[in-house]
Amino acid sequence: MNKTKTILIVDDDGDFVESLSVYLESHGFRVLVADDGDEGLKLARMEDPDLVIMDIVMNERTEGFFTIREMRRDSRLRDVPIFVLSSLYSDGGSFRIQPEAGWLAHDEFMPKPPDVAELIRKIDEHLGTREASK
Amino acid sequence: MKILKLPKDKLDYFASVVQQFGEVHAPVEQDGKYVFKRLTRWSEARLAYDRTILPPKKYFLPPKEPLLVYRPGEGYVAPAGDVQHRLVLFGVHACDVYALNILDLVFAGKYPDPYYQARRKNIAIIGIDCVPDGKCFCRSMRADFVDHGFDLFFCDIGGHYLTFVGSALGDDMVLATETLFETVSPADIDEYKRRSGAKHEAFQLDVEIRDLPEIFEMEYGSAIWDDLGAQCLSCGSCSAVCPTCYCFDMNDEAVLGSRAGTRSRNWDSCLFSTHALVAGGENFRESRSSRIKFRFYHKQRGFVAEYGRPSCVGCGRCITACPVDIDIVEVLAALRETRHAATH
Amino acid sequence: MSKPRAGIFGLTGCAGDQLVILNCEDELLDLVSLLDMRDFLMAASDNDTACDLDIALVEGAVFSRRDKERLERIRQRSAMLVAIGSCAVWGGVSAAERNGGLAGLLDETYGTQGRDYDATEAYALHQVVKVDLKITGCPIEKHEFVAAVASLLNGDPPVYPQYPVCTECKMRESNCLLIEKSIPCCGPLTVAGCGARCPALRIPCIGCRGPAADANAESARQMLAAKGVPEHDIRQRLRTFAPTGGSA
Repeated sequence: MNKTKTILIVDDDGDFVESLSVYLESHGFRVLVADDGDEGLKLARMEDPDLVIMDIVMNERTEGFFTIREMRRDSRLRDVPIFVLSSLYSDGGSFRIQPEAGWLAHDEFMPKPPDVAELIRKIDEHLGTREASK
Repeated sequence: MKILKLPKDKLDYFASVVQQFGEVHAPVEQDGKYVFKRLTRWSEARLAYDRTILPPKKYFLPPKEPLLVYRPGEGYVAPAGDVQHRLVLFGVHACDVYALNILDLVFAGKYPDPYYQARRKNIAIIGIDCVPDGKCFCRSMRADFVDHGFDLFFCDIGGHYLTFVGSALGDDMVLATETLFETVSPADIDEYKRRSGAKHEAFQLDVEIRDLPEIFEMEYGSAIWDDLGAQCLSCGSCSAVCPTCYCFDMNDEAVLGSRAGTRSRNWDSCLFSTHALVAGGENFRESRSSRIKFRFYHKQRGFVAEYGRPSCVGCGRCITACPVDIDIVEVLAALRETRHAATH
Repeated sequence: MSKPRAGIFGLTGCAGDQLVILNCEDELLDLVSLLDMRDFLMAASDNDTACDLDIALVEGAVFSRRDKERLERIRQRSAMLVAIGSCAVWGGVSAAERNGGLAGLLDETYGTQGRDYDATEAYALHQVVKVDLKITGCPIEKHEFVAAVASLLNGDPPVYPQYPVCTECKMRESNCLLIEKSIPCCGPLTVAGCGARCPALRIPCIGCRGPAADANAESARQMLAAKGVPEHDIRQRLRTFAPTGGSA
């Protein structure tokens, strides 16, 4: 029997996190929430999530960059799939984050707000679940 | 050399992206002092620091470094170490970059050290300029400007950092974040020159070094060395914090119940009473005065004879770290005065 | 080749060094399989108190006639004698500087009946018998003890740092309590090996491991006085672990 998969969301945008949580829970995932990088790391180490959804701009403009690297340093979290959900442009549109250039040690990159169907499909792909077909 | 400029308010973007080239270490605060440490977020970095407790040499010549694991009858293997670990040292001052170039003379010159060379290859250097304080005399030691030994070097010109690209890796870093950098204008060059001149004037310490070798030769028997010997605690702090002190001791540690073991090298200091102790019990520098004399001689005279310039870079760490306030600048001034007194 | 016959003893002391040996949990099984432990009162009740030993480790200072007699008997029966811990190597707490000397100490502690007690001046082991090896510490460091056994089993003496704690403080990049806070710290005078763990926790070194080679107490005193540390405080700081008269 497949146990319930846990998804950790690390993001300081309360409204976005709430609606995403509801959506993911409705697809049978257990959702944990952290509102900054430190909190996210702490929760990740304690709970061993199956997947992490990470924001970039939190307390600092590039907090997500560092949080992802911290997670990858931890042997238990090195292989956990990390989805970065972030607006590609920061700083009023002048600085573009380039995930395709290998800037982040992530597995998937999606804009914010994401195409939720696509999000579920990608989650299925990484976790071996079949929520997209439901 | 390619020169660009980076708006200061984009530095955090640049530093965050540069993580892909290696783990970023920068000076962070530790109880009022500064140390190079891995960053867990950009805001920890303190780029306007005076000096770190330990220089960047701690990354290239670690205090205790296992060199090989031996097994009698089977030879030895290199230990599973961290020489391949890629790091980016962010915010290295010119004197410290200069010091690494000096260490290159010793460890990557005639007798190449593969451990040091591997780390030098895998650790990127991003320099930053600084404002001298009351203990800095890098300008006197000609170590206040570097043209090689770094990947990038940032110089503050107000709203931007003038960025000197010093290597192919530095170029890769700039290319990776191309959209952040801007081209340099003539006004930027003027601003750099203006600030550079102002920085030269800001030095409070001034040391004449050109005739030091002669003075040292003549003052070998000076009473100054006895006074210093009585004062010095032989604590080793100055050697530990010096960016160019590289003496090491070797130590074998056996595995319990076996003849196999690990051979390590550890920091040593010519100030230790055991430094010049050899098998048979002969000690070539038994007195403290002979040992402290040796340290100064090596830094400002012996190294000159071997490599053409003093190994001191004027970073001021030894002055800061000595518990009994032995100050190299004061010692050199005293030696100079002693010479004048003898001729009257 | 047969396993070396070993004995571990304690004279006047806290028994902390013997406890550290028992606390080498990861190595204990190896130690027991590599050594033929014949006489170790702290670890066993069935001890051979008469047989010859290849190696004896003794902690504690000689502080009574009984201690002296015990030590001499241990020396007689052992091929190699190792002094373990600051008390055995330097005299330690027993040899701390006191007003009124031994008589004053006995009087203060026990009153008039103290005059009849078996108490002598405190001595480090080497001041009474020939000592082959010294492992200092208060208590000894686990890794230095294990290194000693590992080396000795191979016929080699262990090599320990002779330099001061300051160097270990700098190796781990701790802030300097002496310079930054003007707190009397015995680091410059004390032999390293402990990893400078106390200053790393902002606790000044009290010199528990005994003096570093060529320790410059005079300069350290002057330096502390220059910082405004009262003479009384300087004396207090230096007196506890000051070595007994004469060099080790």
